[in-house]
Amino acid sequence: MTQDTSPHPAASTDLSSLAFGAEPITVDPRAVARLVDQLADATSALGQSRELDASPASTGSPTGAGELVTAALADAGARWRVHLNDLRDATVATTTVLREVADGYARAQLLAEEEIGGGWA
Amino acid sequence: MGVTGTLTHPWPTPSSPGRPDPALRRELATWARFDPHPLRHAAHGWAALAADLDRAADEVATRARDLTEHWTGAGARAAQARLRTHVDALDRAAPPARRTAQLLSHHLAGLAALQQRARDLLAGDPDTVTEADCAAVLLRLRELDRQTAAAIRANQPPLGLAAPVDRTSVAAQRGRRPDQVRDWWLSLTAAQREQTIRDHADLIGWLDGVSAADRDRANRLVLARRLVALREREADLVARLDPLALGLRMVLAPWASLPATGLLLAELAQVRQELAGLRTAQAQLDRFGERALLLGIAGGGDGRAVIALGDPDHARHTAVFVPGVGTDLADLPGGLDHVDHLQRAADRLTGDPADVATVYWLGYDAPGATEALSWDASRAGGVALTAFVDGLRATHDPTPAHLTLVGHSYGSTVVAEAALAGGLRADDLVAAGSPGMHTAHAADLHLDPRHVWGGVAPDDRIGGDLGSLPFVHGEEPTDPAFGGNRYTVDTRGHSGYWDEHSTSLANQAAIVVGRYDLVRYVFGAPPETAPGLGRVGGVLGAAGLPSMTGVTGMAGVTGVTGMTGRR
Repeated sequence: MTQDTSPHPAASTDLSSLAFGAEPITVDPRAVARLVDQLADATSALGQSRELDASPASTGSPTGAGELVTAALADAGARWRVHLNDLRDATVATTTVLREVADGYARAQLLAEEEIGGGWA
Repeated sequence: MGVTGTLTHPWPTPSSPGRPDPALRRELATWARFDPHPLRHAAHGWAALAADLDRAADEVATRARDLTEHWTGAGARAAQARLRTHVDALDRAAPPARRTAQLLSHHLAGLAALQQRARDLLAGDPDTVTEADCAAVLLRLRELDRQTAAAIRANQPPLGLAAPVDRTSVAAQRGRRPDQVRDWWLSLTAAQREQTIRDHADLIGWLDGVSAADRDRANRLVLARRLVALREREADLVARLDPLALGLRMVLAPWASLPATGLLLAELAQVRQELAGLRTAQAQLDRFGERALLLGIAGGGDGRAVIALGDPDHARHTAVFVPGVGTDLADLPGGLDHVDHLQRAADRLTGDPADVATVYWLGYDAPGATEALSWDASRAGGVALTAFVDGLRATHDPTPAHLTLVGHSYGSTVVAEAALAGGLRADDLVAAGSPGMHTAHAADLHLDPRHVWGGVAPDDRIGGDLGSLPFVHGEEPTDPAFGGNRYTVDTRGHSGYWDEHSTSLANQAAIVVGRYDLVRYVFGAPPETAPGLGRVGGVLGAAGLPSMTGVTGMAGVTGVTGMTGRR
């Protein structure tokens, strides 16, 4: 680890500019964590639409009219729930990693503050 | 929308003249009455989903862009690349959802026009409305249904990222204990559970150890698909039995036509019988709406059905009702009346309106009258009933659950066989109109005899006369020598035990919720009512009743992502 001598201009704290290897890294862990939370919220409600769940079942008609569309809607609803769950799960997996990254940066900064002091930046 | 495609329609072609066939008019009337509101509701739902997907894609794209202002470097670039894949996936998902909404909108417009035409024909002068007019509208309605369904199916997204569960894996669960099945089910991802329900609904629907909410969804799919298949087969058979087609076969192959016709007629009768049974089941589900959970359905033979009123995975008290001789799907309305009355009466004794679930369990092949003296169906049914009860225990939420089995008539012999074998995890056994319980002593049922209850009406011929025959079904549970409790019955006949506002019903309801102090009995030694039973927040687990073993189950943690605990 070497000292970064040219902090990123967007860095919001004096310890937010670190360098690992040859490439300078700038990071504001708190801002990243906030954005990660918003990312998780963006897809959390997908597939939980009550209308989508209720609609195929409620079109059922014991008399025979419209049975094919009813059955197709039921199948489509089930298949879409799978797809939406996958989309949501994938986003959750990504945000979990990003949250750990943000936490890692925050811990690194804390360590730098405590052990090295403001001279790090 | 044009009238194209393969038609299996049994009716004359649109060019046929003459007054419409009454059956044709009936089907036309069915279409004319068809309520399009649920479809309109569905169209709004799909449109809302498309909008949600668009918003989610925008949101993720915006946050990804914001991220670049607070984070740079190789890790940041990798994160950006990953987030772009999410944006792309969301972008790709929105158009098919929107197309489904549009398909339904087009369908609704076409349906409205054809329904109006159907209404005009039905209201018209019967002497001037021809069969050809009616057939033409009917053909277009069916074709509209077929085309929209095909378009919806063609518009589905691919299966997600989870590895699909194959049929062999699901079939292998059938020989396992319900708690093992529960663990397997919970080990799947939400996406895999959805896929399994969709692709192997017939197996999941009867699988003890799968949550009630998931079984319900699987069984409703089974029911809908089977109804469609049977209707199509019926139309095909009717067409093949058309007098013109039969006449042609007589000319071309007279030696073969008669046997073939006989087979077709036999199959048609079979198809129509199954259709009638399954339509009855569907009608009962419609009747009870969200209160009902379909825990098993099969149309073959006399048919089987397991329907819960209330959610047995979350109810504090569950009663499983086992019907008797000659029961088939046509008897569902009356049988569900019984469990409906029982649930309502029992629920009134507790403080929480969702405290009691009752289950109508026709999960065995109920014998006909001529086989009513045999024990075979009882034994086979007893095995299935024990597994079902184990399934209820396995899927119940972690709170304690009180479970009562109610056997009516021959159904009490099924309950008895399950109990006699040992391992039946019930807290109370109730018999009504029982011809006997295959033993002379309540103590043989592997349950404290104080939790064995019998009731019989004075004019009940089954519980009275048949039960008195030696060497048939053993001692009646209402005999003092049997050693159980006899509760008071004030109803008449063999099937009046669940009449509303009766003492017969009230007594059973009190047993179902463990309020033994409220039971009116002729003789016996009822157990003490457990502290807190029948009251919200009561401590069932402290009741000192050893079989009240609420096993940590899956309810509340399954019910596939995106679903509520209830259906």
